[in-house]
Amino acid sequence: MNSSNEKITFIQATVVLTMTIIGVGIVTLPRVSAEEVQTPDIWISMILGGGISIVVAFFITKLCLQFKGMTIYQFSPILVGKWAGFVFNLFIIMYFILVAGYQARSMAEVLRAYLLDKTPIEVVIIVYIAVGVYIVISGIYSIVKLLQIYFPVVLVFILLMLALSITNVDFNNLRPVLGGGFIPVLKGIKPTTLSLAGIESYLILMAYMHQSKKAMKAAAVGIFIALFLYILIVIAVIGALTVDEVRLLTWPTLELVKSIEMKVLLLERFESFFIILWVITTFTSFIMNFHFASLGLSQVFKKAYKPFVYGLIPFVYLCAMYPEDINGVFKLGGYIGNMAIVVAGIIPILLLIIAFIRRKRNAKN
Amino acid sequence: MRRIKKSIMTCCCISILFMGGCWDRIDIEDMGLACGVGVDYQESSAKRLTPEFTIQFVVPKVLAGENGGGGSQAEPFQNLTMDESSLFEAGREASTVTSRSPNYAHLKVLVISKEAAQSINLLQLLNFFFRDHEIRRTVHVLISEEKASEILSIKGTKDPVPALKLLSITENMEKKTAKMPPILSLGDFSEKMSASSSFLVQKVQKFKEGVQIIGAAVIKGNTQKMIGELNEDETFGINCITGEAKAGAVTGVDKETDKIISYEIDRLKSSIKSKVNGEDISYTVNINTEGRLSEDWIPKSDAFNEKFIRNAEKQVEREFMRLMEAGLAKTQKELKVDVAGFGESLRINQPKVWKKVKKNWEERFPEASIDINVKVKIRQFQTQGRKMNK
Repeated sequence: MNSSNEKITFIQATVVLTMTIIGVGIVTLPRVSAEEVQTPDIWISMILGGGISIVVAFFITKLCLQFKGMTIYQFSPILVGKWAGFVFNLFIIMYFILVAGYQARSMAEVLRAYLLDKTPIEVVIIVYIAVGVYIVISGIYSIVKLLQIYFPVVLVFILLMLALSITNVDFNNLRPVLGGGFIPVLKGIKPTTLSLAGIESYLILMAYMHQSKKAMKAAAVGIFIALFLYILIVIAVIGALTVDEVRLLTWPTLELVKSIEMKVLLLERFESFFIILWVITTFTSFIMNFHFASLGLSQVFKKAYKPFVYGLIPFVYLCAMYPEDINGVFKLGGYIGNMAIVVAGIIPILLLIIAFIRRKRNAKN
Repeated sequence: MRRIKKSIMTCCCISILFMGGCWDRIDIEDMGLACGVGVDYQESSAKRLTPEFTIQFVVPKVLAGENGGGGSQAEPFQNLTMDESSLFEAGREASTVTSRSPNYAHLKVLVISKEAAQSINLLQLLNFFFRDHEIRRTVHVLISEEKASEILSIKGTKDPVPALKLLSITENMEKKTAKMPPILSLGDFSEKMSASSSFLVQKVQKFKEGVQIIGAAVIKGNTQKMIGELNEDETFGINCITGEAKAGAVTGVDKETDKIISYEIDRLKSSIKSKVNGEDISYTVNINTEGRLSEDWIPKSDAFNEKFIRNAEKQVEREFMRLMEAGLAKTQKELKVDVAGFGESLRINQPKVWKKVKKNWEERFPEASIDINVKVKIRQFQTQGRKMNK
């Protein structure tokens, strides 16, 4: 695969990041963050979370720039030694597999709740993974092109959904701003930052980028687009349903979509359209994570890529089916969030410090 | 050649296996479309309170055949009443008597009888409706004076399906009248309950042969039960304070001649300002409305005369004041609930004070003093200004 002389362009890198970030969060973020913040100031937490994400992106791109054309799987053994690198890589791969499974399961749970009541959830997940494998097997460049096609679709659907729900939004529900002081806002930073997880994809993606020097800019733009869409969604959901109500609902965004009723446009049951959006957004995150996991295995064991894609199918499936019920799925989401802190935050910063010390030492010698 | 044909045949046969359609398909002919549901309270010897659940199905066949001569006397709707310990179970039990099990995706109206609303905690009673994924948040909620099953069986002459008729009447609030509170959807219901604030629900009652939606039922946020009702005047007053009275008529009486003057609201704006002074919380409500003179019975009225218009405005203002004071007297002093958004104004403008009083707001609220200012502006008097030439 590395033999291909294709490269990912700036715009593609931006799109990939946005599409990786936007995933399950569109339906869970409002409740999870409302649970923590409990005042309507979630959007402020979102902005702060976006700031943190950009700082993290800065560290990640700084680190990857030192090893041009290499993924983290390749350079971590060089940096910290064979065995420590192996452990790091395995942890990152596990994270990607879990995220893929989580995306698949969340997608299926929503589908079961609103559309396919009697269809066994296993079937939905298997079909979803099968389609995913079909694209993952053909490698990063095909995936990137697919995301490029999906990107405008997702953008239009989200904006359409927001435009249609604007009549339900009561801005009084978003007031008072900072009524409870700054502490609730700070409480919300963790869930909102985690909803923007996805920047870790640059640990791998930068190796395939055409101009890796512009990676920081691409990351910033990508995060900004995702952040912007998420903030709009949060404002719409809180504005239409109130914070107190959002905390009661399993899938607040879907409830907002369900309350869209436009007699003028003869439009009811917009949720059917939303389900399309939902499947696409989770699918893009799913294939990216699936790809990163199988690529990781192939690079760690220095073997061909395709067998690992097939080999991972049962693991992804097991991760998806591991949670017993919906609360289990939310719990898994929580664990993944904590893992994301390690993968996107702690590991890159640690590696960056080590690289920095090494370079100093080399300079001395 | 034959071989190709054979292989195509095999392909087709095999593909049939995979093209059976999805697990969840329901043919539209097999769906029992529930368009309205009613909840009553069943007096029974059982230990628990048992609700009685009425489901109204539309019968599309009869609806479609309406213009087909009218030979059949079949009703375009069918009501089914079940009593069970839970509403969900009652809905399922409906499947034991009807060939088409209820599908709630097109549910429009939910009617709760006054008896049920007064005796059963509504948060519990309505849990099924909030939880079920087929039911939309936009279902309109009504409280009925009589039994809900009775209200749902009164059919209109123009709208043959009772639930759909109720739906159309509720929508008149926005354009024609303010004698009923604004439409309350299931979603609003849940939002109000989750904030445990009190609110008004449209109230439906029998009226001669048909039904009438007038006045309001008051649901108290803390107890989640209906605790009283407002008559049409009180409801109108509250609608003015909340600024929801966007349309409607107000009839004042001219002091001099003791004759009536009718004013139609075109626009109405209200603002509630809170003032906190130590422990005292006071409010100023400013109402600004513009509209038209629609009717007057004063023999020598002369709308071409500015003086007459100013006087008419004064009389209408007086009536506005009377309505709002009546509304406040009933809700604030008698029922001791805040249904006009006074707490909301405090929450937004004085979040710190609100945090302190939130817990026992409805104990504090009756002590708050409320000033009301009304400004009526008659913008037009329509086609005839004078009744007789002088």
